Amino acid sequence: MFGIDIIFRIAGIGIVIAIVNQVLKKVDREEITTLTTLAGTVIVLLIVLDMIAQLFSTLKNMFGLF
Amino acid sequence: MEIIKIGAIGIITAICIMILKDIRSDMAVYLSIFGGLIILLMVVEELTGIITVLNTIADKAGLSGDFLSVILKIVGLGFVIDFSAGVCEDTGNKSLAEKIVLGGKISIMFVALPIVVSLFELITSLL
Repeated sequence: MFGIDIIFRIAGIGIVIAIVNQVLKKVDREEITTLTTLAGTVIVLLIVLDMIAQLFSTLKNMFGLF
Repeated sequence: MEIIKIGAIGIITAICIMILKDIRSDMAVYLSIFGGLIILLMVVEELTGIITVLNTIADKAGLSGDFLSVILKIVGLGFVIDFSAGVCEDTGNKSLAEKIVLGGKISIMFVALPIVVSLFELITSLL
């Protein structure tokens, strides 16, 4: 769960969301696209926040901050 | 060997961002944050060795502990400030990044104050 594979995972999520939105547009269900975009953003945000917390805690322990 | 990995991750992230830019611009911002995060986490892991060596040298030289801890705190603060200011700049709001840098400078000044005080005491005691 570290290094380059997360980047590909997030890029994949972005691409999948884009494709799903295109498909939804074709089936003229425009209103669902906002939901899928929101879902994608939330997933990516969770992963990002998790790693930021990890970074800040390692910094805190190592440098004795706060 | 580590620097090659860091460089590779940076380049690959930049390419992924380019791909994602026109399809989903918000995901591209997350990717740029992510690249910075991963590189920082790798760098921080390497720092532990440097810090232990610094501690041993400081103990040998008889330097009192709090000077080194202040220096390490400032380095850590620098890490945090640089990362968060970079993230804000990536998302485009440059003024927010500058405010973070300002806050960081103030907190560094706050951390470094005891050393300045002890310096002055040293000087007055000499005179």
